[in-house]
Amino acid sequence: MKIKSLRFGEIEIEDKEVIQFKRPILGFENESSFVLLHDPEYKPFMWLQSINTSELAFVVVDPWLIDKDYYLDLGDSLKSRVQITNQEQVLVLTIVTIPENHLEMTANLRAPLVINLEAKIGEQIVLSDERYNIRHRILE
Amino acid sequence: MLIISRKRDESVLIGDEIKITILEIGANQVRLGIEAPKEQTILREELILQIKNENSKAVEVSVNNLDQLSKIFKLSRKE
Repeated sequence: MKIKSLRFGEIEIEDKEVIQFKRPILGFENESSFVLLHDPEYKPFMWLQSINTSELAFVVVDPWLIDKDYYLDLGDSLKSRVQITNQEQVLVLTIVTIPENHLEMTANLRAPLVINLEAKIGEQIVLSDERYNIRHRILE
Repeated sequence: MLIISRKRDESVLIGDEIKITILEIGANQVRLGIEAPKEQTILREELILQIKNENSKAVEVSVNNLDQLSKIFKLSRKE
């Protein structure tokens, strides 16, 4: 299918690449379908682009690159909602906020995205662990 | 909304597995003790609002291209 993206114009993606967020990303209740756009040039960042809204895209990154001791426990109810049966299916990402001064970019370690890459289902979860901040500075 | 009055050390049960106890009553604040299965996420409501805000901010990305961000990140990790 073809989708429109503010940053890439019209792009062709395969239906099977679409990730469904059955529980919406907080604050985006009308958006459930996204696709991950990656490019070696962007590493380690990726775009999580909305299928329906061209200007809606999040910059996301692997939280373990930011905090190598990052820890989250995927509870049984999450596992069943996201249909996780083994660890290899799981991709965890955090949303990056980039202010005008890019050096001050932060990652939301408190509310990561848990994605099942096989079933293509994702969910933003909120950790109870108070060690993790909504705005964790990426560059020290 | 169901409204129930409770005194200090009294509890409310929600279903079979959740128990909320009033531990302390102050002028402006109460302390609650919550017993619930580990599976239950218990959060201060304002945290959800903060996350919604942060998500909205994250969408207003001031870059169109991640190349530059990628370079900044890689440089910082080489130091």
